Parts: sequence; structure tokens; C-alpha cells
Amino acid sequence: MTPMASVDHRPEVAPPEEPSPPTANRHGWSAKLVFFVVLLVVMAAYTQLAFQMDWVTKAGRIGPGYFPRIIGVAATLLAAFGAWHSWRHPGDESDVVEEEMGEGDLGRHPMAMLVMVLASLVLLVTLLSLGAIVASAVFMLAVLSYLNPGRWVTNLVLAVAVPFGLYLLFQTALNAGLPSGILPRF
Amino acid sequence: MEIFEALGGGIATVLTLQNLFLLAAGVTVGMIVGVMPGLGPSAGLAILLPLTFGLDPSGAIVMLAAVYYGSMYGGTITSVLINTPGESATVASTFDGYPLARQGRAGPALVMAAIASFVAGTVGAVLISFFAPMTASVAKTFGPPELFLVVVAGLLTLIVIIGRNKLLGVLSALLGFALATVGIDVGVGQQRYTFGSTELINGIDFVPVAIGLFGVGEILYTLWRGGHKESIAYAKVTVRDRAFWPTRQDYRDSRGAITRGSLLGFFVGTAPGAGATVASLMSYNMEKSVSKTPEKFGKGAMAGLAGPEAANNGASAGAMVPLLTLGIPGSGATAVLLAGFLMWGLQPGPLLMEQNPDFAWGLIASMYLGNVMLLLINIFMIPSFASIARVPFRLLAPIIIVLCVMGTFTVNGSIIEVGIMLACGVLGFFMRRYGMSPAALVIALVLGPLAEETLRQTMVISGGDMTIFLQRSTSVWLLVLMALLLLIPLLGPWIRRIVDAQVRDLGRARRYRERQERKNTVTGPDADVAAGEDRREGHGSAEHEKDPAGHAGPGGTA
Repeated sequence: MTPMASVDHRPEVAPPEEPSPPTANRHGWSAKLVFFVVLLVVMAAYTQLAFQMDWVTKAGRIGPGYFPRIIGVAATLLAAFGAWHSWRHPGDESDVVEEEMGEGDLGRHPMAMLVMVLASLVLLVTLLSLGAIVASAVFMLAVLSYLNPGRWVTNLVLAVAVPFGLYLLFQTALNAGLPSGILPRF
Repeated sequence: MEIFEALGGGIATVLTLQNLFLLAAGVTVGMIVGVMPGLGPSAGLAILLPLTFGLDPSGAIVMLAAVYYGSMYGGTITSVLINTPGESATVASTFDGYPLARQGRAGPALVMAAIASFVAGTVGAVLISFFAPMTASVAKTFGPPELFLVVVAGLLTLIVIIGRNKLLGVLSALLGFALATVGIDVGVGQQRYTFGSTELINGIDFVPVAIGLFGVGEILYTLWRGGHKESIAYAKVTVRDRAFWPTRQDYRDSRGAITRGSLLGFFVGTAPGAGATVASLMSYNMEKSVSKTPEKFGKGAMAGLAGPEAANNGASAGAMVPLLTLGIPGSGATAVLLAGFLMWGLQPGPLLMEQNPDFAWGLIASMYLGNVMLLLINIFMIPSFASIARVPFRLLAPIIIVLCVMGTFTVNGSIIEVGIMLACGVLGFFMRRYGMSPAALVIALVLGPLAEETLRQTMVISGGDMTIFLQRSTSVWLLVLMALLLLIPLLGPWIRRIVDAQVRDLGRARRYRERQERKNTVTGPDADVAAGEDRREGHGSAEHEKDPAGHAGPGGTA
């Protein structure tokens, strides 16, 4: 497919949905629904806390709860709408026009994303104790082993050189203050 | 005259060896980040913001502005070479840029894009020099009610024009406002949503949120869609090759497109929220409609690349007008830029040009010089940047995450902020995935305190009476503007049809005129040949002109 063809035929808005066959399950749980339910719970809690703050002060001026209440109620309603919409259309997961996709669709890779998130959490937890260089090197080695398997030399060189270079840039050149951890500060 | 004096002062401020070096470094680093897959100007600025910590304010701002321009162009390189725009503003550059690269004309395409960016950036800088003081003088008359309405109008524009799903756009902005309420309430000094944490008393810093949403969020999204599995088919470019440079015909084809794109981009860019994406798509559609050879569009028409490129750079310059004069960022990238200004103690707004003329004019001057720098660096280093675009994403992804983590930590030395940044990264992924707008969240986070403060002041002035917005003529105008903004989605298709038809008629008339002129100039035996050619062309063009409905082009997606 030529790029133009892929562009020209891109719909301006989502095409009208095909009516589901009568036997199809119209409602159900999806990742999108879970996301909006989580958002709904968070915003409901935000709103509940907002209602514990004053709407107006004793002097009759705008109180600390004025804005949070408006924001909270509106966001809760919209998150509820998002959840309801996801419940009604569980198959409607990819309503984002993927204009950055380039030519090929390479599928979905939740595992790669999950590995990155988990490794980032480990980096967060170990950053202060191990220090910026060591924690970042461990993180890079772990992630590269998954994303770029079998190329140990490249992975090892990158895992050592990049954190070291960034430390030199931020700490030594810019004096920005990074945790040194188990290594001496330089 | 006053403008030229002020601009001269600005140029003198920027023309120090250190600032010129920072300008060059900013453009280069911006382009490097811009060519990285998935990272656009917003992510580039957010990630590189901590690099300016060791600098003086004027140097830092000059560098940030340079990063902004550099990263805008960086996206073009990947659009042309690997058909992957770094962000939505360079999507239109893939339509003809990539076909040109496939024909072995990647060099001319990139050089012409650089020239278009340079011309548009320079035209934009000249226009800013005139429009910014004018807007500032109008904005000086604004009181708190007007400023509040301007903030709301800015957000509305963003949601109405950019968001595909308006309600999710509003929800994104509300999340930003919610995050902005964390910390001490400025009215009565009460803590809100701090949960006893001393780190949250001053509120949630903008930088970790921006780095998380734009940097980490984009990386996670690109991983999820398999960016690490991508084997990149790229076009080779080398400066030594004669075919690297555009031909005379290329210049002739692009001249008009660049001029139109620069002006269109600037004026579209000045509308908060409209921005570079809309401008580039509009420009593409316009060029296709007025072209003598519309059938070449999508198959490697130089005008189809030069027009959108000029428009997106013109829009980046245009976006500086509301940013500098009203303090309203029109896009995610300008929101990060605004945060950078605030970090350096500079409050963009109507009084900026009066209170900090050196800074304001220095920034405008840096745009002139930055564009020259961009052109030089662009043309001679295109092959080097192209080689960065070839670094596989599987290697870049962990490097960018480490850069984000270290960059965030250096802001306040806070591990909690690193946690907030990573959490925002995950949030950013889901927002991208489900059609929400990280840019709206970031802009709302920046504008939230301003909205709350101005509304609070308005209510103090009016004694709590909301009709104050109807009692002041400027407020009423702003309310009318907001009502028009809300009507745009309803009237949009109708307006677009009318504009498309007008532009198409213009193109037809131009082609017809040209045929007539050719007919008149050709005489003797050649006349038959010309007539034959004409019939063929007429036939082809008629065929095409029957088609435009089906070929509304990507502008239709704007």
C-alpha cells in the first residue's frame, strides 16, 4: 500500500459501526473499561475530598473547595460516561487514528511494555540505594536483554556507557545532583 | 521604529559567544531528539529541560527555543526517510516526502524541507516582531475576567480543534486541572490533596508530569505497538552526491507553496490550540487544490512537502504570539516552553514586553538567528541525523527512560517526583491508547493555577456576581469568540466544503488560464502538437477534477 493510499482512505471520523449480529455479546469488560473505571474511582474519591473543603470562605469569597468540586463533579461524570461507553462497545478498543504507525502494523506487544514498566519500577526503588550509575546500568542491562537478546557485547557496552555518560553530563558538567549510591561521587 | 530598536537590542542580547553556542547546541540536540521515533517537540523539550539548569536565564530560554525549532524539524527527517513522523505536525510531510525518498530523492526532499522551514521560521519571526507588541498592547487592557476567559478559550480551542473525541479531551483537561489543585490553596492557605506529604505542599511540579506524559508515555506506546520489532527500511543520503541538492524545477515548484504555507501556518498558529498539525494539513490540501499538477500529489510532489513543512514551522512561530503576550500555550510543546519560562522566573503575559523587554526581544531575536543556524546545521548534517533515525528503537527506548529518570531527579532531587513521572508515563500510555489528550492535560496543569487565581480575583471584584462577564465589553467579545469555537464542530464540514470548492475553482481557473496562454503562444505546425497535448492534459485534468470529492486528501482529516 502506498503512503498516500493509506492517507487518502483514512476516515475523517470513525466509520459508522456495523450492527452487531443478534447473537453477539454487546456488553463486556475490556482494558479500556478497566481504565475508565479506575479513573472513575480516582475522580470520585477526589470529588468526595473536595466536598470536605469549603465552597466559600466565611468572608463570602471563593473557598478552597470551589474549583475542586467543579472539576471533580465534571470529571467524575465524564469518566462515568467513558466507562459506560466502553461497556456498551467493548470491541471499540482502537478508536485512535494511528497516524504515527508508518507502513506496517507490527501487532500489539503488551509484554514488552510491561517489562519496561516493571524494570522502571525497580530503577525507581534502587536509584537512591545503588546510585544513578549502578541502578541505571542494571535497568539497561535487564531491558536490553529482553528487547535486544543475544547481543551481549552491545548490551553491556550500552548499559555501562550510557549511565556513565549521563552521570558525567548531569552531575559533573551541570552539577545537577544525582545520587551516587555505592560508588564514590565524582 | 520602536520595534526595530527593541529588536536590535534583542539581537545584541543574544549575540554573545555563549548564547550562539547554546543556540547551535539547542538546535542540534533538538533535532537529535526529534528524529528519535515517537519523540516530538513536547517530549524533546520536557526531557531536555533539566539540561538548562546550569545556565543563566537568557541562555536557558535561548536554548529551549532552539530545542523547540530543532525538534520540529527532526520529525521531518523521519517522515521523509522512514515514513514515521515524530509527531502529528509532520504527518503531512510523509504524504509526499516519503514517496520522494523512495524515488531516490531523499536529499532534495530534506534540503527543500529545511529551506521551507527556514523561510517560514524567518517570516514567522518577522511577523512576531509586529504582532506580538500589537497583541500585548490589546492584552494590557485585560482585567482578571478577561484573562480567565482567555484561559478557558485557549483550552476550548485545543479541545475543539485537536481532540478527535471532544468529551475525552475535556476529561483530559479536567485531569490536568485536578492535578493543579494539589498543594496549598493560595486564597486561604489550606492544604489540598497533600495527604500530609511535605513534598506535595508546593503542588505537583510540571516537569515530571510533562516528562512522564510526553517522554515515558510515548516510549511505552511505541513499545506496545511493536516499535522494537521494526526493521527500518531507510533511504541513504549523502551530501557529496550531486543528486542531494534540489533542482531548479524543485525550487520553482516550491516557491509558491513555501510562501503560502509560511503565512497560513503563522496565522493558524496564532490561534491557541490550532497549532502546527492543523496548519500543515490545511497547507497540503491547499497546495493540492491550487496545483497545476494535483495528480502528482501523494506520488512525490515537492510542493506537497514544502507547503506543509513551511506551514508547521510558521505555526510554531505563530504559537509564540499567544504564549508571549497572553501567557497561553497553544500546544503541548509551548506548554513545556511556558513551564521553562516560569521556572526561570519569567511570567509571559501582556506585561512581559514592558517589564522584561530584553528577554522578550532576545527570544524573538533568537528565532531569527536560530533559523539561520537550523538551515546550516540541517543541510550539512542531514546524513548524520539520518543515521540517528536508523538507530533501532529497541536500543533507544531504555536510553530515553534513563535520561527521563535522571532528568526528573535533577529538578528537585526528589525520588517522589521520579515516581510521579513514571506514574504519568503509564497514564500517558493509556491516554494515547484510548484517545485522550496528554497535551490538554499538560496545558490545563499549567493554566490551572492561573484560571483559579483570575476567577478568584474576578469574584472579588464583582462580589461573587457572575454577570460581571456580561458587563464588560471585552469579556462579551471573548464570550462570543468562545461560542463561535463551540460552533466550529457543527459548522466545520460546511465551512470546509465551501473553502475546498473555492480553492479548487481557483486551481481550475489557473490551469485553464495556463492552457489558454500556451495555446496563444504556440503557432504553426507546433499548434497541432500543443493542441494534442492540451487535449490530453485537459482530459487528464477533467478526469481528476471529476475526482476531487473522492480525493479530498488528508486535509479532510484535520
